[in-house]
Amino acid sequence: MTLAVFWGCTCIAFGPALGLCLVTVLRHPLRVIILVAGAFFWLVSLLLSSLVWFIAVKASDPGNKPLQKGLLIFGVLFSVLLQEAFRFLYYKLLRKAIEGLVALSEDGCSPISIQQMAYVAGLGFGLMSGAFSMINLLADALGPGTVGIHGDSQLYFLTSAFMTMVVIFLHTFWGILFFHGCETQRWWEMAAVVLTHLIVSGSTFWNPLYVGSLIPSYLLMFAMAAWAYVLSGGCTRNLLQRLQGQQSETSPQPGS
Amino acid sequence: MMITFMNSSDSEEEACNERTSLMSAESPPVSSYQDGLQAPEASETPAHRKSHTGGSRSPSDDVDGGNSESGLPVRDIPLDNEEEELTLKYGAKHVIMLFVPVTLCMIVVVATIKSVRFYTEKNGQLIYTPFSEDTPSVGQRLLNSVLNTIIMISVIIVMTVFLVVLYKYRCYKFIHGWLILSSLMLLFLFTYIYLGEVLKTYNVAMDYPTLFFVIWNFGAVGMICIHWKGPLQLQQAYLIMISALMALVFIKYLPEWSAWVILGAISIYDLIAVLCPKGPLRMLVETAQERNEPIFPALIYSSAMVWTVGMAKPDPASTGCSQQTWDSAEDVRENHDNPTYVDSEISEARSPALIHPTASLLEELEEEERFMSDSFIASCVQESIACSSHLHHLWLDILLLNRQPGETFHGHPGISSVVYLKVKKNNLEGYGLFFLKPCYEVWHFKQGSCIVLHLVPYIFKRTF
Repeated sequence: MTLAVFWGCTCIAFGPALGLCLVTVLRHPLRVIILVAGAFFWLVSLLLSSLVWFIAVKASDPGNKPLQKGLLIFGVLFSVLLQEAFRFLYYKLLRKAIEGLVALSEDGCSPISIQQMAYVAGLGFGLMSGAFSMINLLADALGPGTVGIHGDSQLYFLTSAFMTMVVIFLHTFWGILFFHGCETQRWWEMAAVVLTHLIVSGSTFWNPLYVGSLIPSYLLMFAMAAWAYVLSGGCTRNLLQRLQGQQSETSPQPGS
Repeated sequence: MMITFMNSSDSEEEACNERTSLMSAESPPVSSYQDGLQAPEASETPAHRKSHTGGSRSPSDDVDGGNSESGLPVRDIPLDNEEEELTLKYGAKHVIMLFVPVTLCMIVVVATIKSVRFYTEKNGQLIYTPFSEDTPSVGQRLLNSVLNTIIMISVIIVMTVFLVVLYKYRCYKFIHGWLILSSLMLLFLFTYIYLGEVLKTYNVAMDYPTLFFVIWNFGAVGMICIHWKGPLQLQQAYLIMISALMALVFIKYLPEWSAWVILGAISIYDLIAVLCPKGPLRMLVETAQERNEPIFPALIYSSAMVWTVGMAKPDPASTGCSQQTWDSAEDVRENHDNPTYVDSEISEARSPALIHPTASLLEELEEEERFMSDSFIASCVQESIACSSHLHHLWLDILLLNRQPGETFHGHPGISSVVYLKVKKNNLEGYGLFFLKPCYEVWHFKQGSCIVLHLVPYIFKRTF
């Protein structure tokens, strides 16, 4: 594999997310802290779920392929549920943080709203998730070898990169939806997030039939994006106006 | 409303102005709490404050307090609300300002480990970790690592206590001599080894004259930047490189399990040393504050610094405050007994320097940069010295270069922040303890109590 593959996959997977980061997060220290803490929360959830999977694997018969596959599926399921649980925990933490920030500020207003925090937290989750998905692949891409020489798909790196990108975006939108659901006590939004997460992760079991995992994920991503946009106060009129370069009266920013 | 917030936070993109000189880490006298502080600030700050929100405000709203005290170099401590805001805004922005060097350091370390085989070859251990980890059983290995940790921590404790004793008995020349010696060793010897290994890895031939030239320049400029004056970014870069070198030495000479246990133990020790009333580091800081002296300025990483600029027109206020800031630096190096001599020296030295428009602006600018010192340099150097078995006679360096506690306000006489924050009435304290061990950063804010462990290099080592 070549340096071109490495850079290409890196940019595909992380380009949009890092662009988002650069434009919206990196210039604001508070958001950077929330981002990093969110990444850390995701990391902890991954650690715990992988511990569980590891123990399960060690305790089972390594030769039994269906069992191992079943354990993997179980591991993924458990990991998804744990990630969402940690998202909820992070929401709780951020709520407390907002109260603290409000108390500390002089005009009784938090410098950052829960919607912004939701976005940043989702981005943090996504970035860390993407990092863990792609880093090993990228490291291997730098070394010698041929993709799929033993009969596997040759598109492995490319599809992984695209999958990573969509997962990062999905985490961002899930963050917005989830926090909104928590804020407005709409449990069905939270359930939708969990469900779609399970669907996306489950669809990866269709790999190497990449059309089975990438296409549903992208469709879901667009759906989540639209939903998050609407929840954040945007509407189609604004979007069209923006696309046509006009000034819109109402802001598509998250409402206060 | 959100737009306002976003815009406002965009607008206060204060680059830390690099008007620099090495700011001595001052611990000026505890100023009296001025309840009337609000009044002089009120004129300038409301609009200013409203437009700056959240975690990244400039501290210039505190400046006005300093302005109002003409001639009094002491910055007034704002009251509760402002203290808390100050902490928070100080915390968020300056934490971020410290993310960058730590990340850079880690990148350097990881890059080196990935490419230069030398630092991953286990080639013996230090005398501080005598127990080997090549044991047949897991339990034995664990025991050995714990024993290694105990030895290392006791060495550190002894050294710290020794340092405090030295400091209490005012052996400044001694301390500074060792400081300089140890940074000399770092900048020259370790760089030489590092450069040698890198050249070996990439199979680049370099003759000794060239090598001497390169290392001499690197080391000399480093000494000047770190111990005296220099461009801010150059100083930061040097400190980052030194930390990376330390981390590499550690990675090479510490066995794995011992490293992990030492990591945990040293975090706990540091918290104890700084926060307990009888902790050596706390005593060090308190002694320094009592004496109104800086604490080993050379080893503090500054995220921003301020020139103490000269004035075209000698203004008592500014020369007063400038004198204060320089005084301590000079004090430590010279004698305490000749402030007048020092004064004239300073004014002479600065008359050809930049001309600054107004006295108040001077103070404002001096106050503007407030930054954290982190002691990761110190600890890394310390550990590097500890590591090097040949240099056990430089144990004192461990002492001297022990962790600098807390954050320090540089520039205009701000109290050393550990002390400053200690005297806050509502006990809202933020201590930043920074030490960069081979692969981790522990940052502790009492207020937020977040402990962030960056285990990146170890993770990378495993996953790659």
